[in-house]
Amino acid sequence: MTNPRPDTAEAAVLMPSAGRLAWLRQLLRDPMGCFGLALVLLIVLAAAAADLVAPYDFKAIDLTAQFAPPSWKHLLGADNLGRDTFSRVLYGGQIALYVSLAAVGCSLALGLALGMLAGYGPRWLDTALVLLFDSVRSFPVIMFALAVITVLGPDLETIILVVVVTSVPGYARITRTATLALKATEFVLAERSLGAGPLRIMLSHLLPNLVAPLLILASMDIPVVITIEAGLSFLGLGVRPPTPSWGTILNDGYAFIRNTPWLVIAGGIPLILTTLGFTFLGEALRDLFDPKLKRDR
Amino acid sequence: MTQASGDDDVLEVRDLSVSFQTARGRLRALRHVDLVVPRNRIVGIVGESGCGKSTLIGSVLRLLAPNAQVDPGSQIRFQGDDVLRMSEAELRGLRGPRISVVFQDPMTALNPVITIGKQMTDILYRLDLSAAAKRLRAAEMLGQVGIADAMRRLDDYPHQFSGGMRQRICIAMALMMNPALLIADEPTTALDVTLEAQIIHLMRSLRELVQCSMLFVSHNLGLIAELCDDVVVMYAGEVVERGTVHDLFHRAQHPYTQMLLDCDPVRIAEARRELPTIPGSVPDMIALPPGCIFAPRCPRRFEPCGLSAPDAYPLGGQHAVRCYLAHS
Repeated sequence: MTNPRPDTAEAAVLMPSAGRLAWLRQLLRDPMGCFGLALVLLIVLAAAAADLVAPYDFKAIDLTAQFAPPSWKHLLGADNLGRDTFSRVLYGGQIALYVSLAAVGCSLALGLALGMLAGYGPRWLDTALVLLFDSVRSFPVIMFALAVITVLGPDLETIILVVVVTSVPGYARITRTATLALKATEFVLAERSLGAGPLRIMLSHLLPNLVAPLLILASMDIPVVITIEAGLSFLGLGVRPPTPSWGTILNDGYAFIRNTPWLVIAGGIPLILTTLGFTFLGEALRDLFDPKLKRDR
Repeated sequence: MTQASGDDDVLEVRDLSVSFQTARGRLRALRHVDLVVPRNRIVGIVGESGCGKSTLIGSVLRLLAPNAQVDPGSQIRFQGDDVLRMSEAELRGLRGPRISVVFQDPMTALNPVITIGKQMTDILYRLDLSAAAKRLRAAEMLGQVGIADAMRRLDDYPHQFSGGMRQRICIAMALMMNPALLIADEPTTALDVTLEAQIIHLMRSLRELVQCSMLFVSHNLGLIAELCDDVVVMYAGEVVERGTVHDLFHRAQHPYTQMLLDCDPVRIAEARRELPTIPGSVPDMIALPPGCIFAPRCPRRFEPCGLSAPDAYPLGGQHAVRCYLAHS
């Protein structure tokens, strides 16, 4: 499900960082990055302010408004139970961001830890961890998700667990490769000769070198996780009603697509915009930090 | 090769042999190396690439590759403590506070994503000092190695400094904990000649200030002559000659030392297109030749050289040479 780019990650590892905010200025100069950042900010703000902005409660049923078309009263119309779609889209954004940020955050942290252990630790640990990563990666994500959800029940936390388990190996492998490259550099030897222990080297010297390229990968992974959550919810394996998710909005609308297409559109557009926003942002960040792709700016 | 030692010796290496397990067999990188660094003296190690200089440093710090093996009978004593028997925790107390190293390439010896100040204060993690006091100490050290506006530059990253400045920073970092021994592993090889002179000048002035001994590794004879008190000449994993700078540069006895001196471009009297070289190449250290290690390349070899390896022959004072010519 992820598309790790070890070459990119490795190249970015050894690049010296410029001033603290210089990268932000460069990002804003790139139209794609600017667009991506704006979209991401818009979606995050909309989800965060859902309580203030949403005109209705997401589970308030109003049978008089059943299948209401978009109007000033219901900006994006209402669904088969007369619930306001605009409010549901806003709250659905909270779910999507919660799942994706939690899952990607956990994967990133675990992947970094395991990858550094494999790369810097003893040989047998490396072999064992790589074997583990490869075994986990050989599972098809959706089949694995179906199996886990069947056992643990459909739940947000279950979805997060599935995503973390399946995406940790990707992060860990990149971290491991980059750690192996860093391990051979003279500054690590210099630190060791100045009396730094393995923990100190990993945490205060390797970690800062590894985080930047992995953050880029993470930002490109967020839309993938959002689609997984929406997909599972669409299949009825994600969040339970009445909790709104873009996937369930799509599913609800799908049944009535002939008469009330705005339901599907309302559930689909935020999904597309979020995916687009994070992907653009991730690509712009990668262009920025990958010396091989550096153009004249 | 033995040499009289006193209590005043900071580092004492006796009969050190190190080998590496390779796919082709056992590579005997160091054989019976003796080395003494007395207090407040600068000892130079000179020799061509692959002669075991870096392995020697690695052994002293116990930072050898995992396939390295130190032969039993080898001894490394640092201020009386047995380095080869130290635990990992004891070693960490050795590296940094007691021995520290300046590496060859200042462009790669600093972590590119961490500020100089953070890297310098990090070394003081053992000390119970406030963050401000550590910063002050770092700035003071930077000032001592001649970096202007030290307090402000602590927040800069390595790439914001030039090569010469970075090497000064590396030296400052190495001296942060007031070590008893500073090992400099070809500290000027990656720098140009002007900077080289500056760094050598700096190291000499620092020695008076910090009062530490130095082990200076180089293949530049000029630098050794200028900076060191004693010199050890290494060839293919063995010490072939040792003595004071004066002994080595004016009364060199070993044919290898003599040829090495003749190869120094400074010594060439007449201008020619071809530079003097030592014919032949370093022997294969997996299948060592019997007898003297230098015999296959030696222009003055005679009968005994191919039969057995010569012992160290004392020539008075510290001067000693591992060559049959000195016996006769």
